Amino acid sequence: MIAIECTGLVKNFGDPPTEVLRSVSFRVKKGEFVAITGRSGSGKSTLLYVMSGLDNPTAGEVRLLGENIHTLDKKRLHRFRNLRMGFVFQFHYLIPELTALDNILMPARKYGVEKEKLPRALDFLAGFELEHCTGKYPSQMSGGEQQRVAVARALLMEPDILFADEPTGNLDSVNGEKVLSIFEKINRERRTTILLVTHEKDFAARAGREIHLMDGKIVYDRAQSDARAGAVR
Amino acid sequence: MLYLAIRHLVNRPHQTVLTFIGLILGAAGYIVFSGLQIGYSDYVVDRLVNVDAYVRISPRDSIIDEETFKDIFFPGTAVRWISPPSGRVYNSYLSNVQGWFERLKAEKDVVAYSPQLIREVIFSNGKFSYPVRLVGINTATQRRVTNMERDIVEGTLDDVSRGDSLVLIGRDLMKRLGARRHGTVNVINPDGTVFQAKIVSVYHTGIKEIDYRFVYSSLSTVQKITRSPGEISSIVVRLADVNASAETATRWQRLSSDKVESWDQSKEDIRVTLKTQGIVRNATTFTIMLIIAFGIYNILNMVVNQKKREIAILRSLGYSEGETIFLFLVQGMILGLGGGLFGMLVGGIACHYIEQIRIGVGAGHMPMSWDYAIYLKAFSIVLVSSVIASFLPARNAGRLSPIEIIRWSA
Repeated sequence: MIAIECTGLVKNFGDPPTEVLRSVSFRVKKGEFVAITGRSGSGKSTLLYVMSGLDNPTAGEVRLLGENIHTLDKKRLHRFRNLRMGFVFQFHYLIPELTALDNILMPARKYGVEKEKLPRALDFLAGFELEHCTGKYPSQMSGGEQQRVAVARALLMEPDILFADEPTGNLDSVNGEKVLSIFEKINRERRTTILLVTHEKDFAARAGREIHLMDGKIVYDRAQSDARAGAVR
Repeated sequence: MLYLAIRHLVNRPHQTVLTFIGLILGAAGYIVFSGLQIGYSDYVVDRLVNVDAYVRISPRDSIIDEETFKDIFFPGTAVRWISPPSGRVYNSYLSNVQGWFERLKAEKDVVAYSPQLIREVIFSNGKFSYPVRLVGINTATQRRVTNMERDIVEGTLDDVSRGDSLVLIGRDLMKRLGARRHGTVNVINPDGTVFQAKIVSVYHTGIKEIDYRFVYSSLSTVQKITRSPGEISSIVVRLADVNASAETATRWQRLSSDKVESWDQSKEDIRVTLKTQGIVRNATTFTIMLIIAFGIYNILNMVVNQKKREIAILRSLGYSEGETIFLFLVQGMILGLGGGLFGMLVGGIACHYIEQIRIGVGAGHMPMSWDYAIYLKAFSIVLVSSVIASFLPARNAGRLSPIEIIRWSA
């Protein structure tokens, strides 16, 4: 089953327009772990935001799980984001007024299912070595702990697709490794489709597939098993 | 979102408490200010209206001029007066009392009416003499029109109708005359005739112009003393609604040549004072609303700017623009509700203490209105101002594009 299908994605910024994405097309199967790589300004974050529906393309189409994400009505889009997508950004964006547990439960509050999701949230806290942070506020946690709470929040509603924009960018290697291990685990165990934007080659190498961008175009798109052979899709 | 809104408020206690205090002071200030103003105005109206009457019907004096004699001496001919006529005809009594009684009986807004005979006399005792307005009343109907019984400090209203030449006098006038209750005073008519009257009751309204000037007796006594047998110079009327007095008086005036005046028409200065008070009160209300609104707007606007990242993440979690607006709007509402409720409480307590303050004039203490509408209005002002002021920052928050915030943060 196809989880993500991008067709002819173009994104321009400014006036006169600068092309950030130039007719990008690819498909991601459900359960794939895809790393999007490239140098700064190559358009990888923009691609992620356009793919996830946070930003609109200038041209082209994105289908997530068969739905054209940019033509969904607002109500369905919000529901889709809440139930079927998860986001992890470079900055954790935790709500400072809420404890770690409350932050994780925040997506569940939209539809009033926080009690139902509480055991899952506690499981995450235990599984992500965050039990000691349950009642802590973001300001009382380390950067790595904050980012793992943000990952738990993104995964609470058991999304089909997880979009991660340089989630290890602000972390040291130990915490970066922890976050990536979580991604690998949920991809392996729950078959969550993961789109990971990163410029760290080591992390990209651990994804099942790498899409490399340069100047808004896909330079190569290859499975990691093919990497050594230099196969391009 | 309600949960998060409450967490927002709880986690910035300094701002919340300060805003809250501002709202409480706004509501309490309005309550105290309005309570005092309306209390004073109610006191004045109560004194004036209930001691006198809602509407007074009296004979109209007519002015004599060229028009008075038009077509009388030379019908159909233009007359040029060498010395134009002038003067004023004094009508000392109502000519159609029965007609008025029938009309008043038929009016459904009329609660009661009572005839009066008012004459200017001089009261003297020993070497002291003072001009007095002697009012002949029918005690049975008078008590239904006015609350003058409430001000009687010695004796009763009925005492004046238990015989001839018995009077109800103001305590201040009695003291000024050097007289005492059950004592007698001389009543001197404009024609010089002198009668003796016995003080049987004493009243005290606290309004000097009434206490020093008005003396009451039975209608028959005043008719006899002033040699006005059968005459009625006024009919005082009480209506169901004091605020309808002017309108009713104007309507009756159109139907009669007699003079019909409501309490506020006859006391233009007081009417203007009360109206000015109302304008000042409304201006104050507007100012309070503005101050509250600016306070809340500034704080929430600042909060929205500080919370841009959280707004972005909420949107990425599937929360809608409407829910983002609600997050900030509900904070304004919570502050407004709490501030309004506590403001009413603080305002009520402040009014209670201010009312206890003793003053040497009038009612003896600070007049205070306890009209529930003041409290309702204070609560509404605070709540509405808070909601309106929080709507703009809330709407701005709802309009923020999550991707722009994320890009900006990155």
